[in-house]
Amino acid sequence: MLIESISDRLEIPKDVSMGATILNVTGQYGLFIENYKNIIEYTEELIRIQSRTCKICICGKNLHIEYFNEIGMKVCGRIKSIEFI
Amino acid sequence: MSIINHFFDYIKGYLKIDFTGHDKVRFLNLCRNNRFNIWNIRMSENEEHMIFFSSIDSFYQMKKIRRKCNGKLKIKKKIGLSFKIRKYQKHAFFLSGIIIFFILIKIISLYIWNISFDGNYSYTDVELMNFLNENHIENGLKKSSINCDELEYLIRKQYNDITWVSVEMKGTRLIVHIKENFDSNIAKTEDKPYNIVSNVNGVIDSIITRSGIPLVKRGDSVEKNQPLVNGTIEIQNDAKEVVGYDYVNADASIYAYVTYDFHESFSLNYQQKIYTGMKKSAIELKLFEKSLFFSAFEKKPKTFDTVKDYKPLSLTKNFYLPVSICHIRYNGYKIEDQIYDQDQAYELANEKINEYIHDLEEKGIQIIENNVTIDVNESECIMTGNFVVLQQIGQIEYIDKNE
Repeated sequence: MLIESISDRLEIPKDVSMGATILNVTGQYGLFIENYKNIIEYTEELIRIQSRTCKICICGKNLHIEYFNEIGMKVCGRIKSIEFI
Repeated sequence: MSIINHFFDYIKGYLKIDFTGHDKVRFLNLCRNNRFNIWNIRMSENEEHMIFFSSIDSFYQMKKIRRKCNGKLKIKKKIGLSFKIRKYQKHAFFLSGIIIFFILIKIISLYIWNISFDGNYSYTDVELMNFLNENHIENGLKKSSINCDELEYLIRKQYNDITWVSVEMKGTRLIVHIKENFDSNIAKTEDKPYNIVSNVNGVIDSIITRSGIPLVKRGDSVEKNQPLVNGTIEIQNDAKEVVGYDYVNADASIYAYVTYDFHESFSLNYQQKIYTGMKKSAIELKLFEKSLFFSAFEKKPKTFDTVKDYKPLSLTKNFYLPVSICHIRYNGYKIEDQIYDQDQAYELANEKINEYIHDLEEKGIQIIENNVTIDVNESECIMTGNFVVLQQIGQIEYIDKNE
């Protein structure tokens, strides 16, 4: 919490200060994720990703990973919901 | 993944891989940690197979992590140029043959390998071909070095009664289209006014003048080079004084009676060819104007006729190759001395006269009188006399305006 308040005051972006995940969603059909740690689960309907601070659940249909590397990954398919656990 | 990345991946080659095993997610995370280049990851419906694309290097490296994940890797498809090259490496000679073939075709298409004539009647192909050869137009000449306009001009200049020439290059062919003048002997080659002068000695039968001033009338005797129709028209004032000249292209149909002397003889002794029946043949392959014999006959007769039948090879109607096959036939004969008897001599003489008449008639000349007599003596047959014919006369003579 201390780091969060300091970074808020100094206006440092959260992804830099806290390693927060950045999600870039393109409509229902594409999602680009940065700052993630690893994949926990991967099926056609669900992709669960572990980030530094939480888990992210992506639900949908025909989900597939277009590409992924140490920087980020791109998920394509029909996305129904994105949940932070 | 941009198009450029896809292009480079295609050049280097990549693989479509099927991973089966329980720890698919672990496998993916290990791939990411090891920085393997994989993309387009799809899970099958029953989640047994995970299909993805991978670079060749990454595939060989991921064999190590495969054991950790307790899975199997199977190559489903090899994609890319490097694989295609490897696939067709076995057919290298075949491929290089095809490439060499196309290169040869391209080189051959840069040259002329067949010259043909179209529309010529009174001038034979051989005569026209000799004229072209004199002007250094022959088979094997580079197409870029041929100036069609210049060639057309040369032909028109050489042959007055060729009224229209078109030189066309099609494929490896040079086609000379010709139109000859049949209606009149008059043919102009330069764009200048002209008179019509007589080209023979004769007596005028009829003259129809379309342009110019006629200088002769029916019944007049004319000599060679005598003016027949004047293309210079005097312009007179009211006092009948010449104040100027107008120049036109003289045009007229002039028919005249012309006498052709005929004198020919042949000896009654002659040598006759008697074919011995000895026939031999050979095949000659002509490549780039150089001859190669395939088979030649062994026992050559002393005297023989040679018949050559050339067949140029062509890929299409207009794409001739610099190769021609010639079938050569040799017919052996021996010569025997013979003597014509009187009937045979008369018959031969009549044949010769008829041949001469036929030649004249082919030129559109009408035979009015045949005054040739045949005389057979002990040693020879003499044909002497003349033909009176009715023919169109006249040739152009350009007017020099300075005179």
